[in-house]
Amino acid sequence: MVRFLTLFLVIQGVLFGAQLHPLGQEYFVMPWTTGLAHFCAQLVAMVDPSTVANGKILRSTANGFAVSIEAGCNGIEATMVLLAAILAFPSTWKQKAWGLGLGFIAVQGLNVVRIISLFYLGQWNMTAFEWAHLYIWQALIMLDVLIVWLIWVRRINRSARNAQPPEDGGSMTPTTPVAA
Amino acid sequence: MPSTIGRFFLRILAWVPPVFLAWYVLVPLLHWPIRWFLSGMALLGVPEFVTSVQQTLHGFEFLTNLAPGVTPGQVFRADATVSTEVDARLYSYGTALMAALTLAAWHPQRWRNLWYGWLALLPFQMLAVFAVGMKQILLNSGPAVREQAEWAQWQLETIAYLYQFSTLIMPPVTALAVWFVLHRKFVEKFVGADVIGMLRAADAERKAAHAAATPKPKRP
Repeated sequence: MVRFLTLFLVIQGVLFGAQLHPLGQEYFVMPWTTGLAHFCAQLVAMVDPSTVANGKILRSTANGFAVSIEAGCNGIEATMVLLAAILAFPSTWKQKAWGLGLGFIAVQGLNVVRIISLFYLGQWNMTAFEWAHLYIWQALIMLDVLIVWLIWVRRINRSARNAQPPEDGGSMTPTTPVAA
Repeated sequence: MPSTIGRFFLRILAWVPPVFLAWYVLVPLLHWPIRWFLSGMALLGVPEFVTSVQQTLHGFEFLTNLAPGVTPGQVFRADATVSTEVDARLYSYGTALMAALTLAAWHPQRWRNLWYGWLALLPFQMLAVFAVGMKQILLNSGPAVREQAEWAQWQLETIAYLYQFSTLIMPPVTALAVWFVLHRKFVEKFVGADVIGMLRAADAERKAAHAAATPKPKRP
């Protein structure tokens, strides 16, 4: 328990510090955020061709509305929390790898939904946009992290139970003394 | 009580709008202990330049004895001092998230858990509001203000880090962690095992393996 908490906090603290560092910002956060904006723009352009991306900004050429994807909205922090929780939990490297792979897709997938929904919500009503942006989506993304982590722990627990020999009935050696 | 993770998630989604609305209305009341704590710190002179902390509708105002200095394009009275307002809702919405999860779980002791959860989240919210207040005073008000405060570079870096952490990670993560600890048995139903028990067992296993691998010192 202490080991998990310590590892979780240390991994999270180090990763968070690394992404705040100017090098982390230049070589990871900015390219990632720009890529995310372009990915969202391409997705939206399938149904709404007036959407374009300039750097980390998603913009509608029809009405000029734009959202800038800033820290906290690029899904990096949520992914870091999931990464720290999975790496800190006692499991094999193989289990960690598939947990991180699927978790990454789940978190980033929901984050794309968040960005696109906020882009349209902002065009409709700014109060609703502020609410969803500052409170609701922040909470839902971390909730996604918790749900993914719980499903991952359940799978690990199941595979650990399946790997254990059955307690009775299947043993080749008698568990109680047998009279000759 | 919901029986699957999917149903639980749907119940959370159903609880989120009313709970967040209730939280929004109750914010001045829920923030009251934070004001009490921050005012106490100011009375004790921690940090030395904050003279008082006042509660506003949605947050807190830090009043200081620091002079604003010379800012291009701005003229201040001779007795002007720096003050800053922090919108604490940005750092306390974890209370609403924790409440939505607690009500979605519908634990028999849900009201007790809501109370404990709110209390457990308060120290993190106090820390966040304090860090944001210090960041606004020391990092956003110009070099003249920073010089008067006489904080070391490492203290300023710590405040900047705490501000980022308090804004981006702390509110939802602490809410989920507090809820998780208060609903250990409920989570056990979904996971099929007690997660905290699993962690403790892994710790014990590691200790036992370490003890077995370490040779005992022989007596002369």
